[in-house]
Amino acid sequence: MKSDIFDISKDVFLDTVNAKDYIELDRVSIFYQSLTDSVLKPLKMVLLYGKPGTGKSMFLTKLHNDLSATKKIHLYKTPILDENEFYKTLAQDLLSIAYDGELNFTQFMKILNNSLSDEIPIVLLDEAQLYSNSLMEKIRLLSDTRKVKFVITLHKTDKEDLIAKEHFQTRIWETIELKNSSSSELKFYIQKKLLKANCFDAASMFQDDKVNLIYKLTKGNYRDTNKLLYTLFQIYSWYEEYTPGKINKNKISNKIIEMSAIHVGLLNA
Amino acid sequence: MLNINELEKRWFVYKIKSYTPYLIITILILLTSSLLLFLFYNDNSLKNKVSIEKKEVKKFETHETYVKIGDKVPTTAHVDVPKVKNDIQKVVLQPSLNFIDNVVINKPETSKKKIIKEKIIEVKPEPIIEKIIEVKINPEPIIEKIPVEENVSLQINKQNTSNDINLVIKRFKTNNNPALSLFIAKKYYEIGNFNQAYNYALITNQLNKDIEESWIIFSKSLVKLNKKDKAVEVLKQYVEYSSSSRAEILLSNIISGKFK
Repeated sequence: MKSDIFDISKDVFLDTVNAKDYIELDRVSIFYQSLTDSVLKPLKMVLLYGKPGTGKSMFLTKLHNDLSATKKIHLYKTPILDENEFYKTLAQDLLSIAYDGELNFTQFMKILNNSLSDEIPIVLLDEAQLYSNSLMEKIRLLSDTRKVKFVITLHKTDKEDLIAKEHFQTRIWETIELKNSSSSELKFYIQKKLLKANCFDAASMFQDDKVNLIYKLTKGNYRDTNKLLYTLFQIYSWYEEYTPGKINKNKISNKIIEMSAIHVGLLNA
Repeated sequence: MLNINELEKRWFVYKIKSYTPYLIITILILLTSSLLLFLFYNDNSLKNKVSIEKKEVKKFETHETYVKIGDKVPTTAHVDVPKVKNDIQKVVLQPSLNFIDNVVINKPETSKKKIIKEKIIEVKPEPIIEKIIEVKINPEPIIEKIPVEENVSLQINKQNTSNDINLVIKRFKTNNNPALSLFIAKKYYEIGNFNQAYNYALITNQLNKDIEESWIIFSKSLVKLNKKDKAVEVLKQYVEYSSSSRAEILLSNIISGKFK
């Protein structure tokens, strides 16, 4: 049993990817709707990209969660770097064919082309920047068969831009870029997260100026915000336990925000 | 587990770091403004010095100015001795005042006392009256106080009359003020250097032909240089030009031989 509001609030900001923690912000909802529409279109590939911490993994998880009841959809959060293992996993999940021995690209293509399924399965690949160029090329060829549809996420770096250019430029594909939140979105995000966990008192502590400071430190990045607020409530818990007179429960202290930022490395001290 | 004490220390360091640029900027602004103020003040004080010197030059022209400038010395001397020392230093810094004080000192003691009385009454009436009474009843305190004045004059007397004249000549060369040249002429006349008295009176007349005193010194110098006829001629012309009664009296004295 959690002892105080700060302990409960702290856990709200644990950096985990869970579809039930998804917060519907206006802009993000539009993106999500766009992604859902793209998946339902006859596209070979959908590219979801953005800086780390902008919610790409959460998007894939949410999409998987929402469509798994009605569609053949498979999410691979961790990249399968071994090619043989990659084809075997796809054969198992998409075609329900288990292979004990080796399965190479040619064999898998043959199996895929011979499959008679009416519904095109959707494969969600997270962290696709970790796949080799050779495997990415084969994924492209697999998507060309129109027997499988891929939704992949990439970090937006120069390298990923190159991958996008080489592998997806000539394909029919949809790209969605996820960005950091704005200050007002961040306030909504923080408060909605806390309210979801019934932390009403904690939610009321985040006035505009406090959120602006958090925004200044995290630049609206969701992962950094989660890390910062987790540490912030951890510090509040400590003060609550040892020196409760030092904290004001009506509003978040700038000092504690800055202390949290120092701890998570957002500020240099 | 977080180490909050350590984190607080790091936060404190961070705050100091974050305020450092503002602190540096503030210090720089303060330094710059104080430097500018200092320069401005210095510039002003230089200008003031120059203007004070100019004022002093004007003060030479009248007898009243001697009394005014001399005011400071006796009043401070009577009231507070250390202050007198300060004043002396100030006087030393302004050479023109030395000269004037010197002139004051050359006057008879009785007139000096009168001046002192006047000045004391102006500045601090009550204590001065007491001291005046002391002066009248016991002559000794006066004797004590006179040396104070002498102390004042001691420094001034370091410069002799020729030095004083040289100083005035220097200043005259810089500004060509006829009041200064007249003063020089008079001083030369007093010390019996009639050639120079004649020269400076002539210069004064060239600069301003309406100064009666200058014409008188000029004529007197001519007489002393055994040029009585020329002196008479000059004075006659001046009397015709200005109708000066003083010049007229001098003219008659020269003609009658009363002035030799």
